[in-house]
Formats: sequence, structure tokens, C-alpha cells
Amino acid sequence: MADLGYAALLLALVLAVYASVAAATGERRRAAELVLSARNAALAVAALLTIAVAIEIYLLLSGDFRTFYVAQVTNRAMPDFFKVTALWGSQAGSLLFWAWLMSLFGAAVVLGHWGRMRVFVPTVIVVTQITLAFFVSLISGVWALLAYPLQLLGQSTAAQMMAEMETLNPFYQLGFTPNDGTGLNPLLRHWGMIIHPPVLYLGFVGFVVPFAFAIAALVTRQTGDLWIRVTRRWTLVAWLFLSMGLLLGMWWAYGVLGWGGYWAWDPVENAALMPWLTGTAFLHSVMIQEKRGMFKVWNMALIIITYGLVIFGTFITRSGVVSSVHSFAQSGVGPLFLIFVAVTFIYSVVLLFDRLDSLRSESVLDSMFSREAIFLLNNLLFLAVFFVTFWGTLFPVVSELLAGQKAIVGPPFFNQVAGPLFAALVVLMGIAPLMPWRRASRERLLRMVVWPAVGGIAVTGLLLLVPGLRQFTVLPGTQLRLVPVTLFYGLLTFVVATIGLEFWRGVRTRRRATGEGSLAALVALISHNRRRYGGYLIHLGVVLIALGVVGTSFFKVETQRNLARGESLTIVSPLTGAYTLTYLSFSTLPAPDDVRRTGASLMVQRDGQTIDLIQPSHDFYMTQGQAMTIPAMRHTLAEDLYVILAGWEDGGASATFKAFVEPLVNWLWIGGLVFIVGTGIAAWPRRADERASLVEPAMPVRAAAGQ
Amino acid sequence: MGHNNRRPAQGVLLRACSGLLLVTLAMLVTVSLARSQEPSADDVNRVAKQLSCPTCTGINVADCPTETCAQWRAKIGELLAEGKTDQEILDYFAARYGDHVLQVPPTRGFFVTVWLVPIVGLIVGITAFLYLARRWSRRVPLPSADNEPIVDEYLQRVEKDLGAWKQ
Repeated sequence: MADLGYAALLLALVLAVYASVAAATGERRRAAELVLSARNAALAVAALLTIAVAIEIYLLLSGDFRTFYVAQVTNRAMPDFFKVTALWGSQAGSLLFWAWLMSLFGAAVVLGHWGRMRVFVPTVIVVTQITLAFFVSLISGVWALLAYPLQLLGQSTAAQMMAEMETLNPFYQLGFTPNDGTGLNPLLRHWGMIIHPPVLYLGFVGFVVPFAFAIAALVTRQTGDLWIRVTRRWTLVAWLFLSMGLLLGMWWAYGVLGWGGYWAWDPVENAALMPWLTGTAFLHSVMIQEKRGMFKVWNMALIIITYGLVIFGTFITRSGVVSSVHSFAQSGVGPLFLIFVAVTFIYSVVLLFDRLDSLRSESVLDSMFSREAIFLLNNLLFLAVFFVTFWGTLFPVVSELLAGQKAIVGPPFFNQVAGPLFAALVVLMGIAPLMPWRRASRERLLRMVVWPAVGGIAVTGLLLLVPGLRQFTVLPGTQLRLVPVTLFYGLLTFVVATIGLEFWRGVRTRRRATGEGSLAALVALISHNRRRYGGYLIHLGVVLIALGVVGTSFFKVETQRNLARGESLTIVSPLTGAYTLTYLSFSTLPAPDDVRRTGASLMVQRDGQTIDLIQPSHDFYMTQGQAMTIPAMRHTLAEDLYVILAGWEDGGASATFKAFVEPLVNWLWIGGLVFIVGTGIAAWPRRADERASLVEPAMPVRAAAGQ
Repeated sequence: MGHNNRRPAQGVLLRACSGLLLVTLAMLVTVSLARSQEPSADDVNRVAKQLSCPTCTGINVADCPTETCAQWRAKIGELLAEGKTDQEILDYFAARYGDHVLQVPPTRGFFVTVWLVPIVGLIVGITAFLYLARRWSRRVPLPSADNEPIVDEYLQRVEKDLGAWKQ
């Protein structure tokens, strides 16, 4: 069975290479039958990789431990559900999974645009299939074939690295059949972590579509906004998945890792954040090209950078290069990835420079008080955050290579440098929708800004001046935070007010014109202008997320105490007052076979009233010898009480607890939902009659067969 | 509020000074009290948060569940009990295990660039924005986009109707 899977993998590799060569030749010679053949090869690659994935899942489920990958990520005790999800539990499987998703995207985009946008199709095939061929080659063991020639050339280190890659094949067979496998890392046995990687990968892989069309636009010199309009929804969907992947990752970290946080500026997190940042900049700046024919080179550059970061992100998440330069050289994957990213990037940039003449702007920037100028600023800010993140993530490598000094760049750096930039982005988010295209008259701008500004100032003023409200802005003893935090709340109010006003104006206009009720008018307003109002909803989601981030960054309280049974600890919430936690009992809890679960019960009291009973616990995975803390949480809209069992002595006679109060943290998740709904609305397909605006350009590929 | 109506400015100043004095005294008392007592877990965590786990990635010593980090926390507790300041303890670990155990690199030598580069980047970014904005507002635009594909809905409709008619 494994042999069959491996055969499918090898055949997919051959066909992917064939498809890219055939499509490139077909494009150059205007040979329609070659392009058709390339298309069919691309479809076959998708089918073959589907077979390979199906066989891999079968091997995982049937516990075929002779297959190295199966022995690595599963064991007999694991439930079937986790056995399936172990497909993306480690490097070889996740690369296979990545390639499979990519092949599906490639097939879908080629089929979907075969009729309409055929001018772009050959190049799109070339781009997707080359990427695919690279990924499949990594896991097919072909690079190990280079080991012997390299050895002959005296390159023994390189030979060793290539030889290591033989085991990266998800169908690699061991010389014996182990009795049992190692099993999946317990940290990954959480449903947030189960769906997080596929969602993130969908986001990563989805960006291949706008990138491939951008390259196709450059190659064919169809550099108008056609490629942007064709790929708009693809880009939004990719971006949606990337955003969801990030949010799910945060949620998982918060619920599973047991340190009371959700974002640690870890290299792996940053690797997913960076393409999101540049992708978000891209989503904004393409609007300028659609409306005003400006920023053409800029958009090309952004999508090239974003796609480079997608590949780079996959590489970082799967190689561990940033934690140490040394892990980079353990197998050939790191260097090969780096070469691939470099070649893709350099080729794209050279192509972009070659086509600069066809990318001239159609309009001028009329005024600094215009939406174009604000969008430009927005783009630079997103790039600034990206740059800072990139620099901080790579600094340990740079420092070790250039200065020979090891270093770690932790969260304090990122918070201090990226925090103000994010705040500036929120400011722009409030102003930009008010700005008209081309030029804003001062009166009009003032009229638009005045009410939101009054609201923002009022909130800041109230928080600063009314003593009873002070508790919402400042912790005892940290008066310095009062001013920036109240200003930020004022700012959030301003943004919410501008968004609210936009909705209100739209509803009012509709009601006057059609006489609809308010709710009907709102629904009609959104469904007839999905991009615009979906966009506003996304902004509203961002504001709520910002609320949660500010709450947890500035007002989080934590304390740690060792308690004997019957003893209590007190933790004071900045928003709602003190909680008293009393340690009641300690017990062993029912759990799966290979897990020893112990839990401690705590009584939660407030003003002498018992309000809850919580049970933080501790799982020990015997097979892996790994421990996991399971936090107990008490959720309210104001805050979470988050308690972990950090350790215990004498069978639980005394135990150490860590308690956190996480103010406003649930607004982060609520904002995430609003964000996702907004993106969904903005990306929802248009009706057929609206779609007529996408008209096919003149076709260089003439007399295509198959029609 | 103001019982000192005659010379309000002086009163405020006086109160501010005495307030400051009280705060300073209170701080001194807390510090000395803290020094004479066993440090609390929260004190240890405050310091441990500024150190990185030496054996794992992306986690600080306060949140890290490994045995090494537990030993380090115990050591921090000992040093705090000896009356060492937070900075002295961080220096102790950095000297013993290297600068990479600190959450943020110290600002000396090559490590200065970690802060310098973002600042330079910010300056370059602002300059780029101003430059681009100026250039783009002066540039003469193309009269029309001549690379745009020819999209003539009328022509297409004629073609379509012709096709239908032919069949």
C-alpha cells in the first residue's frame, strides 16, 4: 500500500514538472494543444496527490508502523480522529498536505478560469506547478539521490544533508516493524491545534493564486487591473483563512499552553503574521489601482513579497532555523527552501523591473488629504510592522552569523516597537473611510469627523475626570499608563463612531429612498455593497480585537502562591475587584489510557459569596513522558479568571497555583468572529449579472482546442 | 478641599513634596521588608519573566515548566533573599550563561543594532512616504491606459448576437 502511495507521489512530481514545461512552451509558441496538455497534467497531479493523501491516511489509521512517518506520529492508544489529523503532525506529512492543498487550488483556478481568462492560464500553470514540483520533490526522496555524487565531489557535509532527506518521505519504509509508534505530541491533541494548521495552510496556499496571476499579468503584459479583479475573491479567501489560522493559533495558545497569554512573538507565530501583514497591505492598495489606476508597481511588489513570505513561513514553521543556525544544517530542507525562495523572489523582481514601462500610473496624487494618500500611509505602516517583525525574528540569526553572539529577541522588543505602529494603524482605520478619493475639502472632512471626534474626546475625558471610572483605566501604582490608555480608548470610540455613522447614513438614505424598515434597510445595504460594508465590519472586528489586546497587555494581573488545603489566595481584578480562591481538594481524574490526569478543586469567592468551583488539572502523557497543564477558566465579558496548577507536594497536601485575571480578553475572540463574518460578507460571490463586469481580454492563445 | 486658601500654590507644592517623601519612605520600607523576608513567588516571577528558558524556545523562565527553569527560579529566589536587585540577578545569569538568556539583548556592542535598525527604518519610511507622495503628485499621468485590454461591451454584444443569428 505504501508503495502505491509513493508511486503516486513520484508520478505527481514528474507530471508537475511536465505541466510547467509544457505550459511554458505552449505560451511561448502559442501552441494551444500544449497548454491543454499542461492543464490536464495539472489536474492529474491534483488527482495523484489526492490518492497519496488518502493512502497516507489509510496507513495512519491502520497503524502501519513499518512506515516511518506512521511510527513517528501515531501510536496504538491514540483515537482514530487524532490518527487522521497526525497527517499534519510532523514535517513529511504536513509538506504532503501542503502540496495536496496547493494542487487542489491549482486545479480549481485553472478549471475556473479556463473559459474566461485563458490569456493568464499558461503562466498560472507554470507558477503553481513549479512550486508544487518543488514541494513534492522535498518529500519524494529524490534529493537523496544527490548524496552519492556530492560524496564523490568531496562535499561530504552536503552529501550528508541530502542523505538525511530520504526519511522525509511520508511513505519511507523502516527495515523492521516497530511494536508501537511514538505518538503525536500531546500539545497538539487539542481541537484548536487540529484545525489550526489546515486553516493556516489554506491561507498560505491560497496566496499562490494572486501571485500566479500577477506573474501572468507581467509575462503577458496585461498589467491593467484585470488580474486584480479576477483574483480579488481568491485573495480575500486566502486572507480569511490566514486570519482564522492566526486567531485559532492564539486561541489554542491561550487555552492549552497554560501561561495566560495568546501571543508570544515566537518565530513560528511571526512567520504566519508576516504574510498576513503584507497581504493586508496588498488588499488595501489594490483598491487604489481598481479605482484610480495608481500604485501598480507597488501592488506587484506587495504580492511578490507576500508570496515569498508564505514560502518562507512554511519553511520557518517546518525547519526551526530561527531557534538556532545549527538546526538549519541538519537536513537539506533548509538550504533547498532558501534557494527556492531566493530564486522565486529574484525572478519575480527581475520580471517586475523588466515590465516597469507598462506599469505607469494613470493618475496623480491630487492631495495629501485624500484616500489615496491615507492608503499609502496605511501601506507603509503595515510594511513597517512587517519589517520590525522580520528584523526581530531574524536578529538572532544575524547576530550569530555576523557578530558570533547568540541573542534572543523576546516579546518586550516587539511590543515596544510594533505596539505604537499598530496604534497608528487603528487611527488611520478611523480616518480613511471618511476620506474621499482625490481630494477632501476641509469643510466636508470636518463635518464628517466632528461627531466621532466628539465621542472619542468625551470618552477620554470621562475616563480621565470621573473618579469612579478611573478603575477602568489604571492599575493601582501605575499612574503613568493613565494617559496613553485613556487616549487609546478614546481612539477606539472614534473608530467605532465613524463606522457606526457610515452604517447609519447608508440606512437613512435607503429608508428615504425605498421606505424600508431599519432592519430591512440594513440588510439590503450590506447585501448590495458587500465589499464596503463587509470591510467596515472587518474594521469593527479589529477594534474589538484591539480592545482585548489593550486590556490584556496593560491590565493583566497575575499571582502565584503555594497553598495548603483550606488556604486561600486573593487576586485583585482591576475591573471588578478581588477574587478569593480556596484550595479544597486534590484528586486523580478519569483520562485516556496513556494519560495520568490530576486535578485540584478551588472555590472561587467574591465578597464572601461563593460564585464558582473550578478545577485546573495536569496531564502526564506516559508514552512521551510529557506533561501538560490544563487551565481552568471562568469567562465573563469583563474578564477571564484563569488558573493553572503549577505543581504539588505530598500527594496534594499542598499545591502551587498561578492565577491570572485577563481583562477584556473575550472581546478579542468576539472581535475575531466579527472579523471573520465581515470578511465572509466581503468575499461572498456576486450574482451572475454583476459578474458581467469581468470581461475577457483579447486572447493571444488562439484556436484553443477542446472547444 | 483647600483649607490652605491663603497661599494655594505653596500649599500644593508642600503637599506634593511631603507626598513624594512619604512615597519614597514607603518604598524604602517595602524594599527593606522584602529583603529581610523570603521573596514571594510573584517576586521571583517578576525577574524570571525577563529571562529566556535556556533549553527551549520562545518561553520565559517564569512560564516554563521544565526542571532547568524550576532550578533557575529557585536560584532567583536565593539571590533575591540575599538582597540582590533585579538587574544584578539578570547580570548574574547573563554573565554565567551568556546574553542569550535575556529576553531582550543588552544595549551594547552589536546588540545595539536591534534597536537602531527599526529607528533607521522609521526614518527611511517617513522619508520614502514624503518623497513618493511628492513625486506622485507632480507626475504627468498617462492620458489613457493603452495597455488595458480592449473591452468593448457593445462590440461583444454585436458579436454574440451575430453568433446567435448565424446558428
